[in-house]
Amino acid sequence: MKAPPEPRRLMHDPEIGDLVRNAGRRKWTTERLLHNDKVITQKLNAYTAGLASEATSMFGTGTLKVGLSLLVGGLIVGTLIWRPIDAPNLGNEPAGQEAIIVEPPELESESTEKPLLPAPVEKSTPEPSLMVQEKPSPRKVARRAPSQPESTNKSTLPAQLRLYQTAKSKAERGDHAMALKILSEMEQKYPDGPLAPDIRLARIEYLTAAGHFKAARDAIRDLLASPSPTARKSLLLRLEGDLWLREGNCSAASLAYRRALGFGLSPEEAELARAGLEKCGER
Amino acid sequence: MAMSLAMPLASTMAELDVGALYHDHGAFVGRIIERLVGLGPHVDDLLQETFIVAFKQRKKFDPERAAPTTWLYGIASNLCRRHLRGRQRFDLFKNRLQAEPLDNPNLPPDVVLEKDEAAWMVFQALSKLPLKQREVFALYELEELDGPTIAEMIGIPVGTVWTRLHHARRKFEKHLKTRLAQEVSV
Repeated sequence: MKAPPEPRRLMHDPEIGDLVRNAGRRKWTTERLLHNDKVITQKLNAYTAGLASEATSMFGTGTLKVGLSLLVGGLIVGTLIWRPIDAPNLGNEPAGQEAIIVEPPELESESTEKPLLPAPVEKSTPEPSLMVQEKPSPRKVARRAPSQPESTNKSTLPAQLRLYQTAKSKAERGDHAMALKILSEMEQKYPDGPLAPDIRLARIEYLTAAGHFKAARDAIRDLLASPSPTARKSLLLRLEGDLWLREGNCSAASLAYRRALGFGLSPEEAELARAGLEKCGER
Repeated sequence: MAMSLAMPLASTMAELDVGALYHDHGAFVGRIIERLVGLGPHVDDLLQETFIVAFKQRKKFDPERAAPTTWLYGIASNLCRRHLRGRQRFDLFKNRLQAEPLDNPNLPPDVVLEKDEAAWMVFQALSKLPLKQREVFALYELEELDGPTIAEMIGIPVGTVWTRLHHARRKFEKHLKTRLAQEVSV
């Protein structure tokens, strides 16, 4: 059967065709592509270097575990996961393996995220020579048989989610002090947990809602000091400008807005920053 | 264009040369991200992230199952979805923070002029579409891909591509024509 013809493209529309055609022909400059190439290379080099050191530290921990278990009487050797590391393959993860953290450093991570890859991959057992000691994922822990003894690797994500929800509902009811207390507790307990970026942002929000503007600004400063994507930095700076403006400190607000604009903002955000600057000028 | 990415990583990339992938498809992925999430510095962050994830997951790529563009598009669109979810959270916070709106409709003329007016209007109209419609619209109308290719990239039947495109075009045209009419009346 002959396939139906494809609909006529909008670029041929007499009224808006030109606009669509021009937008479609918008090209990326070589400079921009080269810049991104450079950044990707740097990030990947850091990643592969991190993988190597992680594997080395796992080697050390594993050896210690074996030694201790032998001292205790060799009764629990079977419970230890020991797999030799193939150094030349450190950068290569076996297919289907979830041992190495492959999550991107996304600021707004969510526990119910879909995997980043679109298509499921065939389940295959990784070659033993390629395996490194597995880092337990929450899913894996959940799938474990109930009779298995609880290890220290048990996922804390459900607990984190419960706490986070509690903090949110407290804040919604106006109890920002309690919400902040719960968030601080979470930050101490799970400093690198998957909800950490959300917690930091929520903290700023609750501090602002509670009228602790200085503390909110300090929290923004802390976030700015931590490694984060440029786009997020510029947004935080713009928010800092808003905070200063609300407090009537126009010189500090202007500085924050200018820094945000310097980092680069989306057109909408840039408009807001400029509008803030104008307000400062009026005052 | 000489790409440095392929060089330092060549030894660790037996399965897939991510540097070569970037060389061949970096601009395409960048444009797609731009169209899905709108203009801004976050586009570069997302482009970089796409290729970092591609590198980390390179062993999972099966050239017999999908074209590299399809695979990269899947990664990029998932990252864009995440980004948009994160931005919703950020916008919510921002709205609460602002006791008084900072939007100023009377922007100075230089601000208006510095935008690429035409592209800006198209991006504004695009941003009004739901993401599912936006991706089909961007791939068909702006990237000029055909229906079956889009269906394969997104993982939906071709019929669904046309349905989404139909709705997307209706909304897009309506929004853009309204904007144009406003421009003329001003």
